[in-house]
Amino acid sequence: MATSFNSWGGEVKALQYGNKDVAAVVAWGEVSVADPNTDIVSLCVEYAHGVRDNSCGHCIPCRVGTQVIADLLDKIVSGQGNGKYLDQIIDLADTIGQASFCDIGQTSPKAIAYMIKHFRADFEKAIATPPARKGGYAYKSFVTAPCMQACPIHLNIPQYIEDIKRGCFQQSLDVIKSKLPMPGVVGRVCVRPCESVCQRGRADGPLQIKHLKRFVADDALERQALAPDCCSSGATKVAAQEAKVAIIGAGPAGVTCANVLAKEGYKVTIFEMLPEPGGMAAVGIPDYRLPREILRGEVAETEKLGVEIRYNQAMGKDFTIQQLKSEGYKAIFIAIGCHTFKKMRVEGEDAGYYGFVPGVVFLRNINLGRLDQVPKGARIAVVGGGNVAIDCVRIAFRVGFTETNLVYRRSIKEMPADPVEIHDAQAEDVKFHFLVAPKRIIAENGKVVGLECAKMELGEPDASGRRRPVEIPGSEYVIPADVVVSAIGQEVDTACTGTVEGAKLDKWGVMMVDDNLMTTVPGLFAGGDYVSGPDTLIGACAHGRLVGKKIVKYLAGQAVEKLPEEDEFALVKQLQAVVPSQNGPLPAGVPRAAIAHEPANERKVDFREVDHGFTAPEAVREADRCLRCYRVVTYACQA
Amino acid sequence: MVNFVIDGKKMAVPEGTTALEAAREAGIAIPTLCYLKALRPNKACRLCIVEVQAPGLKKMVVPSCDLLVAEGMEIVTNNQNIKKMRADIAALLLAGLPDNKEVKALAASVGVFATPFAVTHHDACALCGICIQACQQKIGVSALSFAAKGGKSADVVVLEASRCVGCGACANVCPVGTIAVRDQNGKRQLLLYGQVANAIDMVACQACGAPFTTEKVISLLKDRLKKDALTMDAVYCPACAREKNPAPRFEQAAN
Repeated sequence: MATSFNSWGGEVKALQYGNKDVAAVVAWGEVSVADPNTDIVSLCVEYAHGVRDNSCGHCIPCRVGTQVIADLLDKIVSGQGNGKYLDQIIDLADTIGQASFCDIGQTSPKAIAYMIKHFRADFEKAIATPPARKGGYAYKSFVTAPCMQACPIHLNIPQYIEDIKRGCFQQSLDVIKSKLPMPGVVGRVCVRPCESVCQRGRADGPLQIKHLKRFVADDALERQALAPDCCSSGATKVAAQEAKVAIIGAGPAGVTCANVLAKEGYKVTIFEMLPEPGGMAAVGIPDYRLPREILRGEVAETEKLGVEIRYNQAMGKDFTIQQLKSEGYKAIFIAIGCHTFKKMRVEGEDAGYYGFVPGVVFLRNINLGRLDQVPKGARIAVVGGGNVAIDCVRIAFRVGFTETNLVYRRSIKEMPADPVEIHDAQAEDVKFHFLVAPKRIIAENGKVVGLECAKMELGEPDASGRRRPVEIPGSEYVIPADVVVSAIGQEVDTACTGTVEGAKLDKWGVMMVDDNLMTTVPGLFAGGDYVSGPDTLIGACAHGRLVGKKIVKYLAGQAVEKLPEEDEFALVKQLQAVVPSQNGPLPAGVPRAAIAHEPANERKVDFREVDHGFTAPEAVREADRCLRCYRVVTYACQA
Repeated sequence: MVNFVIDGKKMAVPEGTTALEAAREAGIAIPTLCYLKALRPNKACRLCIVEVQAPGLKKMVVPSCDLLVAEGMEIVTNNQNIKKMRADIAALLLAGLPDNKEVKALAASVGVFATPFAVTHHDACALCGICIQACQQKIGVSALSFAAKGGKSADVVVLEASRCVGCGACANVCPVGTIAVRDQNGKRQLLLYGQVANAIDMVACQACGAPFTTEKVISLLKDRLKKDALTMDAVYCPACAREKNPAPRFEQAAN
């Protein structure tokens, strides 16, 4: 009889798969059994099958060895077992574990050996009397990896990198596009949570995952230019559905959601406030980081699936949710983003001075080409430490400012902006004022002439864990500036949603959503920055994809509930098994590929793209660095 | 130069030397199936594994074909652990390909004459992939790739015939005799798993009249050599080319 057991060396954790208790789990080469009634032999067989099926087949010991182990276990449970098999498996598991390249081969056999060693009596019993498989439990397997786990949309990163390694660029792109319709966009501007957990980072730098994604997207564009039909995905035609869906906002969340629904045959209409698709990706991100034709091109691909985008349609002004309902839209997705700004609460902010402008407005006007609405001048001071602030100072050079200042109240260490962006801004000669906070906007004759600031020092950590800045008395000084931009945060425009009957609002006036991103009104969903507050582009895409899947269920009259993959990723999260420094440092060899840039002094006067992409040999070489940290996870639940 | 220790002996080699190259220079035999000097390390067969202790790192087992020797490393190529694993790997190879003479010979070289493992189905070949690597890295054609016919994992090598130029490099590198080239009735045939996977018309030598290559190979060569090419207006087979144009070619090239 099995007992509670945990080879992680800690307590047996109570784990949940959805709303079910997990009876036992095998993952990361470790085993944890919470429910002593779990049939360890069945668990082991399921795990061995999962491992065999997910061996990529490259390393011979793993490819043949995992098959041999699965075969031996199959024999045991079908009554053809033999007492020698158990030691044979343990012995072979050791060879596979030591001699294989990736984590599937290195860790999985270890878990099988653990199970046999610790529950040997169960296996011997199974050999003696072929077991009737214990009913009442379901045993299932799936694979994950640290990068997949960290990615908000859980892209199958090791798979698309492996396809690049093998030279199958289109296959690689197809893997990405099965979840994400904007690979070229995300491949340029993603904040890369995957790279921060990349296990190669322990040796000689994480993989350039973002740039590899950009490479396959760009490569497809190049091939398409040569032969227009080469990349037709051969998408299978699905039956057209009758129900109409309305999506409010053509940003990353809205477009991703539309993509999911259109592929399922639904007629989707997107209502967009701006004259341009892309939402914040269009008006928040400057063209030198994300060329507009890339964004437009990837949105157009979704339009080709039959999605209609109606521009210049602002919610609350041109239409209301009630109106959409009465027009027969059976499901509605609110993905309007965070386009309103937070106030700095400093003197002069509300005085209507010429030359004071919020960051989101500053970027939006430049990105929409409305330069007449951008205040003129030579010197600019931008307040804030996030990516929006960096975008504002960098774009300022490109619209004619010659002296740019960034004012941030903490030090460079606490800056939430992407370190790569900070570095690029430094290369372009942005003047950084760290540990400095704005006190007053100084104006003469209604026109901004400077920003009065005070120096700060760091005190005790605050709720965010970052040290709280404290003003140094008497340290005030003035930064001369013709334009002052505040970029300290964004907020949701809650007024435009109007009153929707039955919709519960949170304390900020944003509609509350459940775990499935559905509001308290059936069929009315909300996601993206509108729900999460200003967040990443890939996070918005993840919301859009999930909502798309949920709307399909809703319209089919099925229960709107979590997808198996959501429960799977949640289970691994509870395991907290993705420990970056588990195994100590790895030997270094090939360092992370460097990215070529346009020269700083040339690029900062126009909107050319700053980063160069990989060439095919560079991409293959970088992909070859992937350690392929896949793990097979097998769990048992009461059925 | 990099100083390190291999099987207890001090050695110095130029930077960029792999452990496998260093071992062979030192006269230490390490078995390999998928190693080819001309290709990037393929790391598939794992027969060339060694134990390595690099300063500041934990002891690891890695394939020596892919291990760049570094200052202060201690490499062990042949202890009991390594020998046992090599024997296991050879036995696994043999389980997948029990009747292959190349695999039998390789297994015998590490002391394995019969496999203790029974598998439900045999392998199509060793699936080491160096045919694919040679086609991709050296010929620049990428006509071969893995495919998964039986399940999720790659279990067979397939040929895209329209891309194949008929150079025969794949057959040349295959360590288990899975791919062969046969010139028959003026056609170059590529045999994959014993089946004719491609047949291309051959071009005859303009001197002796014997068919010896394909049009696609000639144009690939011309394209590769570009302006560095010496005049290639006449097409001669290697034997005739040597006869017609001996030493001077090299002198010309050297200038």
